[in-house]
Amino acid sequence: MERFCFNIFFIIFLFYAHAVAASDRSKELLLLTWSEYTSPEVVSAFEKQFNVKVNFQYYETDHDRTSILVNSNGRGFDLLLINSIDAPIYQKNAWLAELNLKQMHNIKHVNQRWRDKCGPFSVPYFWGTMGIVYRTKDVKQPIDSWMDLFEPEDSLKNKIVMVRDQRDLLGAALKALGFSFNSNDRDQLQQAEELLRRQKPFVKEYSYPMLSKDSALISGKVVAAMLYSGDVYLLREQYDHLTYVVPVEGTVLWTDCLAVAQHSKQKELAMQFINFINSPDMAAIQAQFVSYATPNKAAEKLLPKAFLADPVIYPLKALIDLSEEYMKLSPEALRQRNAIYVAITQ
Amino acid sequence: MRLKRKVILLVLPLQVVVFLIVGFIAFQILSQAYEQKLLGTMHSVIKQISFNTKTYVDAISSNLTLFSGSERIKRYALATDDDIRYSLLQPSLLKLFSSYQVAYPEYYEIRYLLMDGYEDARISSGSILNRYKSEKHTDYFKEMQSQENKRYSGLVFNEDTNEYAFIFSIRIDFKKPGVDPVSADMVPRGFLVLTVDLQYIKQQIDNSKIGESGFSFLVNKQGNIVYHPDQEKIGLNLSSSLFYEIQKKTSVGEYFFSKVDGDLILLMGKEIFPGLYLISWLPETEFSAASDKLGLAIVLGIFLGIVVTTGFLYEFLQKIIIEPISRLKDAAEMITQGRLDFMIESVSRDEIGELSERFSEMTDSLRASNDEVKFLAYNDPLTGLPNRALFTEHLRRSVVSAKRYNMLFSLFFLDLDNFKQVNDNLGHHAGDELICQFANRLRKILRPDDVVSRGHASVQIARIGGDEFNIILTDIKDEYSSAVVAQRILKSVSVPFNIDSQEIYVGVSIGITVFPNDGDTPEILLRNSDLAMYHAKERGKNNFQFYCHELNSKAKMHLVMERKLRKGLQNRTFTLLYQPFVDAKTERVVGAEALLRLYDAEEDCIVSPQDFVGVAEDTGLIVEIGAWVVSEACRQLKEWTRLGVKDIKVSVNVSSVQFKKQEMYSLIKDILAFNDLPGDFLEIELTESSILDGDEIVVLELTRIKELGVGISLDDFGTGYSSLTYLKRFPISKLKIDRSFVEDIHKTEDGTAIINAMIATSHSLKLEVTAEGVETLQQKQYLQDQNCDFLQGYLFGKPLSADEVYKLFLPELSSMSVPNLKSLGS
Repeated sequence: MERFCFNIFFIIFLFYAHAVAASDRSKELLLLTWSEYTSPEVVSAFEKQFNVKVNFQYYETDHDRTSILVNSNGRGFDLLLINSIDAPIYQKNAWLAELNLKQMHNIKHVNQRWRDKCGPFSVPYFWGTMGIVYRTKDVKQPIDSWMDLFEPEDSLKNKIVMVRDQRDLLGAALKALGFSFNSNDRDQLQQAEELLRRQKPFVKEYSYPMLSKDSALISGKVVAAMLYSGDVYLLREQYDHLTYVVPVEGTVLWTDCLAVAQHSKQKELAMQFINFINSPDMAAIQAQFVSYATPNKAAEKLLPKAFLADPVIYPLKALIDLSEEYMKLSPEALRQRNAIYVAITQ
Repeated sequence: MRLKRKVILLVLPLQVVVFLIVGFIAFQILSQAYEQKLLGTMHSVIKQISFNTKTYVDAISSNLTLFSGSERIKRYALATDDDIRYSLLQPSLLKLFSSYQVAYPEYYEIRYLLMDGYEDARISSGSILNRYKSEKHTDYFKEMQSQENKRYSGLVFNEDTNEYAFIFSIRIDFKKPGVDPVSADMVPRGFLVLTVDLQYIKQQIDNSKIGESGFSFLVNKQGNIVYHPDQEKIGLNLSSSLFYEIQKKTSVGEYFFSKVDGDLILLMGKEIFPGLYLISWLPETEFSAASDKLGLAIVLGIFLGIVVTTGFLYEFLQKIIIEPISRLKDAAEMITQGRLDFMIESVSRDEIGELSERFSEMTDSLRASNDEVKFLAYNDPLTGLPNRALFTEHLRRSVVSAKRYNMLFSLFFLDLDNFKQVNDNLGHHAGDELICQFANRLRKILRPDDVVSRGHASVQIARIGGDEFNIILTDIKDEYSSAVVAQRILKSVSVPFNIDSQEIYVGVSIGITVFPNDGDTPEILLRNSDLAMYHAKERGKNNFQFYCHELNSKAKMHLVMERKLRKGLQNRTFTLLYQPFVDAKTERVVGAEALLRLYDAEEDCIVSPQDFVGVAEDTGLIVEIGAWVVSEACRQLKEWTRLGVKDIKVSVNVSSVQFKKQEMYSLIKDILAFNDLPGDFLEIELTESSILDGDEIVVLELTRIKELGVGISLDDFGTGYSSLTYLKRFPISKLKIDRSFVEDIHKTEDGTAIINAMIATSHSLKLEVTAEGVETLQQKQYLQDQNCDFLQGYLFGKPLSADEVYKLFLPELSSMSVPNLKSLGS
């Protein structure tokens, strides 16, 4: 009996404590995003200014993010970092909140070209390329094409990490075969599947490399990987002999967008966050932190010349011409791509 | 036929019959049991696989229900927008399918089909290619579609994998969203379809053998073989009649025989899944093979059983019947061969034991009559003496033995004189009687002890013809021994035979041969003895003749001497002379040696012992003569003592033959007592050779004689080969050194040294020493110097008559006796 009473009191106490904590930290934002994709400096500035705590949940691939949101049906997050091609689908699925642009005066600094890509429910975050990173000293021939990655030298057996994302994985294979990144063609997709099957023995994992010092690229367990352009700088902080290339066949030009979740309880605050990071100085800090090209015109003016001239961040025009942006795919192609993707990665 | 074989022939068929019956019953029972076991196995295989399949199918079915309830499937099914459906929801759905497949790898295809049969979402394990995008033309999909029931399961041939598989599906129904749930109808959206391989059932089929050659397989409702342990059979068709029969019987759950391709097969089947039949197949040969095997085992068992029990029985019968009978048979065989010197052992107390005893008794009586026959064969029935046959054998053996031991033996050939006349005049009966009496006399006088031999004498008498006898004397001392025996035979017939109250005189003629001088083979010896016998006949009958004529004359002289000795004894013509001996220190006469002489009245001369002792010993007269010598010496001694002579000794010579033939101790004791003489007056002298081969009896006799106080001296010492140490065995008190050694004194150094050694050694053995043949003063002086005790010889007196020697004993004369005697001796 005594113990039972104790338990009762303990449970009551827990409820009480929780309630107090909740009221204390009522101002909290949860951002679903890539890791290492937000400047801590900017975040703490925002937190200070708005007396708010910003929390992060990270995903590894676009596909991950979608899964998380499908499972939660878009609930539980305040801010969602998505890409330009998912933005309209998410919006269609009612996961994104409408933006109150009147209160977001910094949006004016954002280049309209990128804003068009993200659509009305999200704001451009960064843009970049998908390329290949490799350990310069561990390959005999420098890698400069997708094909070099899909049909690599023997020493790369079980040493490659391919991205765990249906669109990018198949896109890269299609690109290597000289097809469109956004191909809807059944045969082309089938050829891409074949190529992916052949490559499988070289692939250690379908995932995305860690960017911290524990990364397999740094330890040498992995020699080459598909990588989003700016991430190479984070890796290079740990290990210098890494090369990032935009493959000669061309690649995809992606645009990441930041949106407010439809189910967020603090949409106002979330919008304030988007507005805050788009102030020119904050956007410049962000760009330098992540080493990606910012769509913020005002911020560009604050960035060093060397940053702006870096071909990793700002690819050469020739490569941009060869590259494509994400396009809407037919349901038939999507189904086929899904099936291929499951078959390859399972 | 041998008994052994008969026993086997009796026992074996009995064994075989018994074992065959037992074996047949065992075979019936065991083969039935095996059949039941096989049927049981078959039944349990069907039951087990059928049960497992049902459990398995039920599990799949409930998993399908579980899967279909997933929120993701619901959302996917309800998604109307392609972008949302395929971009957002499909990857997630496929991931869900994938996770199902990780848990259930046998669900190798998981699909979501739209209502029109379109494969909207699909995952499959491995790299199974998908042939068709739409399933709307497939049979199973049509069934799925047409069915009222939202569930479907069936067996299909999957063209993607070229294998049969189970298809399980469930229809996904949802009400239209946004419409009042109460009134809204369920709208079918699609099908969740699992394709499941048959591996689980295949494994069970592979693991279920029935007996040695039985197996199970799967057939679909068209009669196609879906799975078979023999991979090549998969896809083949069962004959429709067989399949029809199977379908008919399986509903009842019975097994049945059917002829397939000429073989009789036991079949049993069951529909374990709609449209899927499990069939157990067991060739009838399995039963017959098992029966063959079992039969073989039983035959082997029977064979072993027969061998073992027959062995035991045979051994048993062998022990209690065959062996005893066989022993009797062997005994009978031995009897047939004439051998009767065996014993029949009988241990059992049954009839065979009794038979053995009777047999034994029979053998005993047979042995007795056989002995009789043998006796008759080898012996003369009239006299009981050996006949010629046996005698010839004796002779042969005697030759062999005499050769080996280098002995003499003599063969006598006897023939009765004038026997024919006795026969003719008095009849054969009288003749026979005469022969018998003569044989008895021979037996009586020819005992081995009566033959002078070297110790192993034997006498064989045989009757070899009407009045002819043969005698073998083995190991005789010399030829004269034979003569003595012959003389004895002649003497025995000098007494008349009393036949039918008539006194009949017969003579006997004897021929003697001596081995090896007269022949060294039985034939020659016999022939020569025959010749010698005829010679005796020629010499006037009733005499004996040696084959060797030289021996005849010698034997004659021998006989003459014997007669003289007898006469001497008879007429008391023996006389004793006494040669004195002196104490070496005082040179006083202290005694005399009695020496025997025979006065030969015919020749009027004195015969010395050297000439007659041999004959006396051969004839045994020595005993009488010896006794006379002792008694005469004692008589004389007694007389001398009466005349006042004191402290003298008289020594007499005793032959070893005397010791063998009479009790010397009693004789001496009696004579001493008779004359009332103390023993120490008397001394007996023995030659070295006479005691050399002396046995314990002689030693004992001598010891007792010595106890009487009688001295015992060893005569002619030094001529033999005995060592003094050896002589210690004998109770000797004095040694007499032979005259030959005394002669050598001062002649050779050796002689002198030997005398010294003899005297010294004798003294060390506490023996007195007498030197014989002392003839010179030098010798005397030397012997005195060497502390010789007594001296004897011509220097002190030659052998003298009793009266003459008496004078020397007298004290007053003794001092002057030496010179006188000396002059007398020389």
